[in-house]
Amino acid sequence: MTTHKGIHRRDMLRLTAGAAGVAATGGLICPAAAQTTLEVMLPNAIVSGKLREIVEKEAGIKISDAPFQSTPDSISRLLGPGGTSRFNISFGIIDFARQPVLGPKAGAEKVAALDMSKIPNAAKMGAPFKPDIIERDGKIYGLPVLMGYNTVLFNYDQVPAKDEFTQSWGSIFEDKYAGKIGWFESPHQMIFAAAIYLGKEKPATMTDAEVREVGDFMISKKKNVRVIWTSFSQCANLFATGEMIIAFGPIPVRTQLEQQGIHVTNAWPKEGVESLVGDVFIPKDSSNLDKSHAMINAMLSDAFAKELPNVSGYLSSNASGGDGMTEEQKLQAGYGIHSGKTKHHSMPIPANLNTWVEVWSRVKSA
Amino acid sequence: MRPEGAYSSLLLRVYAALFYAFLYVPILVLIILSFNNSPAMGFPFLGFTTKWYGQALAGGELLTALVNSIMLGVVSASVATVLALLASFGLRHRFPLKGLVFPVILIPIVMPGIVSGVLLLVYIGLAGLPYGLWSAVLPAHITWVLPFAFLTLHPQISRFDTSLEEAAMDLGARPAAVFWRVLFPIIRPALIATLLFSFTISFDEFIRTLFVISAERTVPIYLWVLIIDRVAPFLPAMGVVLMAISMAIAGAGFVLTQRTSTSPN
Amino acid sequence: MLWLLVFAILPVLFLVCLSLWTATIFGIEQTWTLANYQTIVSDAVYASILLKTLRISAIATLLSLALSYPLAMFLVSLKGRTRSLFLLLIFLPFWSSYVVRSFMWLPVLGKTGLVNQILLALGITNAPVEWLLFNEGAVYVGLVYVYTLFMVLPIFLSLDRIDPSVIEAALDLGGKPYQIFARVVWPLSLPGVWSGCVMVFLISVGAYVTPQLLGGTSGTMIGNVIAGQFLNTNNWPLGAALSIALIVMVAVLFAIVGRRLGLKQLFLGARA
Repeated sequence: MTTHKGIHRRDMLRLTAGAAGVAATGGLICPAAAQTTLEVMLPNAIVSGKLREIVEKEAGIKISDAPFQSTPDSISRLLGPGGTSRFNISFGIIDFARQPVLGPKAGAEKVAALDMSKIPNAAKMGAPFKPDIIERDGKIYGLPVLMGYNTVLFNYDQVPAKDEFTQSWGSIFEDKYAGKIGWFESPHQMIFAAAIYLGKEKPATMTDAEVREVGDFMISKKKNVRVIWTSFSQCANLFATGEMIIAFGPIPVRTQLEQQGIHVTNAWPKEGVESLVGDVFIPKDSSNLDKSHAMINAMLSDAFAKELPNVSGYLSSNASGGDGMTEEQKLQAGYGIHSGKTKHHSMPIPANLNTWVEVWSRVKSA
Repeated sequence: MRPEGAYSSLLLRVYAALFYAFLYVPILVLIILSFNNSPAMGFPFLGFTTKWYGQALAGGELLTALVNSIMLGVVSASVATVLALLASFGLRHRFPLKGLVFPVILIPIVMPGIVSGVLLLVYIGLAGLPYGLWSAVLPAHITWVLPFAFLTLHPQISRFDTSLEEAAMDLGARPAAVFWRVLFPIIRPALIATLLFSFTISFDEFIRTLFVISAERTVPIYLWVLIIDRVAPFLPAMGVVLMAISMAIAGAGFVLTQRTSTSPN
Repeated sequence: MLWLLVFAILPVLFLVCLSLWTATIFGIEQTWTLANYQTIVSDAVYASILLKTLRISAIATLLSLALSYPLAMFLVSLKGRTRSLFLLLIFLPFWSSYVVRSFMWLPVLGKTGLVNQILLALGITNAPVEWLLFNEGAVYVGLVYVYTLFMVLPIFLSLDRIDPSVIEAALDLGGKPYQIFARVVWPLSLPGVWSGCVMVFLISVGAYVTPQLLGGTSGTMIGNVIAGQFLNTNNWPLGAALSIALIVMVAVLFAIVGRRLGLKQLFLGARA
């Protein structure tokens, strides 16, 4: 019987070796075809259409983008086991991302210090964006590329635009549009919006008890909600198919729907919009640092700045971003946030984030 | 009276018709909407167009995803079949803890899909392997496919008599010759069936892949990205194209298996 | 075997470790704690979503069984080519990805979907009906649709193996059709029934895509909560602990069913 076993083992080994060979060739073909591809974790809205062409051409690369859901998602992937080598470039809303990206102390950064000599376009950055550069001990770890805001989006055929109720966060909580409302699967931004509506001036400093109170309010209003959407495009599709007519929404969704000819626009809630600035950074163990720098440089270029509002509705951090826009266009792009015309709240990361997350899990499961 | 008589009442036929309608109406709706000249996925039908197909097929993304899926399927099906073959042969012998083998092989099937995805994400991260198609998704697929391969192959192998090999060896055949001349011809149909079945399982795998893939795409991942991350009015068209491709591949496999299993061997 | 050790058993140990660590805004800290499990046990929300998942999966399984059994009977009653054809028609939709099979229901059940178009055209309603989509009911439709094959096939195979002479004998003895079904056919088809139920239940418990696409706010299942901890809220340790809780629940159920029927029987019974 021993010889008997011997046969199988040897022949099986040969077979296994063959299969491994196939696997190895597969592995060889792939990187060869993907020579200058950068794998990035960026919102699709800022690397699609013309923006993609501009960046690919200026930096001499191909972009391969992973599905981006939200800042906590991209940060979670960065901080998770093995996360610092997973992507070449990552993105996050600065107020949320700054602390986790830098780590608790010098040397614990999750991202690479940027070689600014390779990013000459950074010199063109507008003054209001300077505080949003991620910096520690004179080294720069992340650069703002855009600003935007979250607000209430609505279908203006079915929801009156010139209406006190529409121009308030209350419209996505209260009963008036029950069954036609959409929320966003983002504990931070969604609880933040509810908190602003409930009159908290600085939601990020809420105590655990206050966060729970906001959570209880949301649970009591959850019956009015039809869908909790998870990605920009899901939000857009739900508007397009009429499944929801009013929702928590980011600006790129409005822009995409406008381009499709669907009658959706944004409100200016009297409690203020959620303002945000998005930074890009290079994860610490990223391969191909050279090309990653080139890509960031391309994202700060004049050409990118000019096209960004058209494709995504965001405003570039490049000072030339608003050139040629009318006053109204500037206001829509979010210039009012810097000039003081638009009431807004920035969204710092709360110290008791775990409570926020826990409360959100409860809202979702309730 | 034949048992068929007892079963095949009119009621059963009506029911079957309804059931097949349940299966095929959504597919039909998808096909109709794929020709609908409207930016939103839904009715009313605003006119006939084939432009969504143009958009779905334009660009190399679909092709890349398809190539990735096929290569992944071929490699993981081959490896899993070989491993399943080894395990099945191994199980014909006595050894300590043999009783544990079966439950262990079943672990990947019994594990809820979402948990498997999470498991692999954590494991690959903590073990320091790079996320990606060949480093992470391939092991994930092999692990997932293996129990299916084993369940298809094992009954065939365990049925098969060891005395044949022993006879060949008594006649002085060398081990390799015994395998290729005696064993292989007998188990060939089973092997082919296992390979094809494994391939289809791998080709359709989604949730485990989602957690460990980086920015590459397999066919199901590409579709998910379109649903979740893009505003893509060509989604129904893409769905139809992908369905046609999957059906063609699996259909070819099905015909092939039928042929090999019915041909006298 | 070694392969499974490396890729199926070791990962579970890693997951157990992770579930005992702490999440901070700076990522995961390797301080050992039972806090994640305490959260799950102390907060009724997690227990209720776990139970809800088991309930949804159980109902989906029973629905699937009720719908699939008669069809399997229909298939067994066919012969030759017709049988192959109808079998093929069952297989065909399942060769497309289950992502497609789930999302196909959006344009059927949605506000601008097929069902509403028909209802409006027939004048049954004046406004589109909204309760068709984004609730628990839609999840049932999705789960049953997506996984019917796993139910139909084993039942068909076990029905097919019943020796016709057994039924003839029963008829000769003057058995009424429903008696024959209850006393002969059903007991003999049980291996297939169990095998199908176990498969559908297992897949449903771990569902993510279907509730995500069709479930709305009330059709949330544990899979979505677990995925949320990893993808949206950056609390991997809690997600790991929830996964372990789910594994334990499934394992306990399995131990009970497996003891009564035998694992081999369950997985090979209908196939061999």
